[in-house]
Amino acid sequence: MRWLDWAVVVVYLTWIVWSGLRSSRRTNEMDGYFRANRSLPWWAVGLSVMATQLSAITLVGTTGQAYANGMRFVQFYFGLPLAMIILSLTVVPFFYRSGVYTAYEYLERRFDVKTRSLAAVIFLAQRGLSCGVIIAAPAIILSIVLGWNIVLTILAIGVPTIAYTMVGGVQAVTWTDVKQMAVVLFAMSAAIAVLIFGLPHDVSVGSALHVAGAVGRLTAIDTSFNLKTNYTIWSGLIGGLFLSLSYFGCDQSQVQRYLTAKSVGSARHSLLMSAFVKIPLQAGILIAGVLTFAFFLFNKNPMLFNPVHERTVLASARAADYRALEAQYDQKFTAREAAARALANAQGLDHASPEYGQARDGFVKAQADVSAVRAAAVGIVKDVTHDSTYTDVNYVFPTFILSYMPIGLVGLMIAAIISAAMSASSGELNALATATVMDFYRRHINPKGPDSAYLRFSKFATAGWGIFACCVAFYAANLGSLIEVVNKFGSLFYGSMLGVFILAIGTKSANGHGAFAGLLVGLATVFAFTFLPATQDVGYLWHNLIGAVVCVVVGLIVSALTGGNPSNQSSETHRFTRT
Amino acid sequence: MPQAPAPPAPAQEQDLTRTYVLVVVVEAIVLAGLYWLGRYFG
Repeated sequence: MRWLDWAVVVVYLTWIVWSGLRSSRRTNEMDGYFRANRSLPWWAVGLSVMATQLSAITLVGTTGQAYANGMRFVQFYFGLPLAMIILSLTVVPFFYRSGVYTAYEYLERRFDVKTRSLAAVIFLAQRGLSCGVIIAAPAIILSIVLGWNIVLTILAIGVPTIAYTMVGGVQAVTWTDVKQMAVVLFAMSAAIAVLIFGLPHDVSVGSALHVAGAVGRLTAIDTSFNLKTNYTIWSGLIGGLFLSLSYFGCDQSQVQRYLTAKSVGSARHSLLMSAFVKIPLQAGILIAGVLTFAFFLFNKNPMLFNPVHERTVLASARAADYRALEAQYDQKFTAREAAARALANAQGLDHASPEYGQARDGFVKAQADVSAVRAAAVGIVKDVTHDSTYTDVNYVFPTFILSYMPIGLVGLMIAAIISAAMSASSGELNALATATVMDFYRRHINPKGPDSAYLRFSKFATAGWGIFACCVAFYAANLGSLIEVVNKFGSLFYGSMLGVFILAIGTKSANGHGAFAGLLVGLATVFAFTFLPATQDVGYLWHNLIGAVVCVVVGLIVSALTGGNPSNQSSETHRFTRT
Repeated sequence: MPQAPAPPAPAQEQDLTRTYVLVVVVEAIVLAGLYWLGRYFG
């Protein structure tokens, strides 16, 4: 990185912390600190909802996925718009009018304290770890491609985030999220422009997309019904629906965002913003990855994108094998470049003609040859590092940024990656602190304390969770591939958490014993599906449906066996607020 | 004799039914567009 790029990153960090501290109003009151006095406009809340979900690993991981496997990952989001409609009609007015600070607070009103505490503990454990991973993932990538010290990189992301979240509460989080989303969108637009202008003069964008499409990079929708395939239209629409219902409806890191809106209508609009924008936004990020694939057909990239592993291999006994593969790679790359150019230039021909078919077949074969050499190189890395899960797709986009983006824009892209990490982790820190204060400190330790005591404790809690997240990040950075494990660990809980809220809001007969048992059995079932050999191949999006169904069924059965709901269905606390 | 102004009606919540329909329509169009993308360039 050159001085101008460094200047952009430093200016960005200073600006974000300063504006985060400055945008806080009346944060000396509980309502101001935790719910922004319910004063925020729908568009700011909507951008904050999206920023909390869009982490740095979404930026670099999604582009890398599109480079390697195409656009199929977009199907993950297909259930989201439908979930937003359902939540707007049900949970949003319900939480908003009930005056709760946390989603779990409502579970005590409807059921009992043990169900509330269990749900809050699950949230704290899951989000506390996830917050660490959100910070660790970009820190590892930036430290490897830029040669930065990993500890300092984690601190550079974590400390400013802790500072403005601790001082400014939810208002600072929301307004910095708005600015961070703007930085991310501007930087991604700049990257797409550089990718397009970086194509050879005789290759148009349309031709480049045809070339990428010839090897399946633009195939976004898989209509097959296969439970073992992670991303199909069905797993996206059904499993993704349940995942989104749980994440946006039961997870405090999202519920807290729309509790800050000016009105129920504003809260609904903030979620509907994601319903309109999320799939096109993710498709845009994936297309950036497809364009990166097209870009690297005509611009040389290293055989492996992770320079640290390459150096490890070159210092090992397999260095000669690796060097031989590099020579092969150079040859195959040149052949593929010629084949890609021939196919791009054949776009004027009838696509059914033999000449076009020949050009297409030639490119498909050349791409397969390059992939085979890369696969052999990856095999050597796995052999040398003893890391069977090794993949370098997360390094594809950072390699493009550092090797081909102009001075100044490199700094902007690094700022965008840091932005995405900060916006996602700040929302989570804020929610972790709120749940700690409301669901444990105020509920169990100091129920009649003044606002000042809760505010003081919430600032300590924010700092404590921030330090915990940084410690998890240091640990995860040393474990490498365990990041994948922790990410999957987070997805184990969504379905069962959704199930307990369905029991609370959608049924009249469920009671606390049923909800508690349903939550535990739902979690146990999803864990069994994930780890038992007979079922571990089932795509993880289906786990959300399985967890929710098991939790509801078990909850209703146990409730019936333990006397049903004694409060006899008349209470306001377990009915939908009709509008 | 001038009539006293009528008391303001209680705030009515906006009916978002059309927005919900629009969300479904937009999603259908986006999905069709993504399907076309794969077919056209594939």
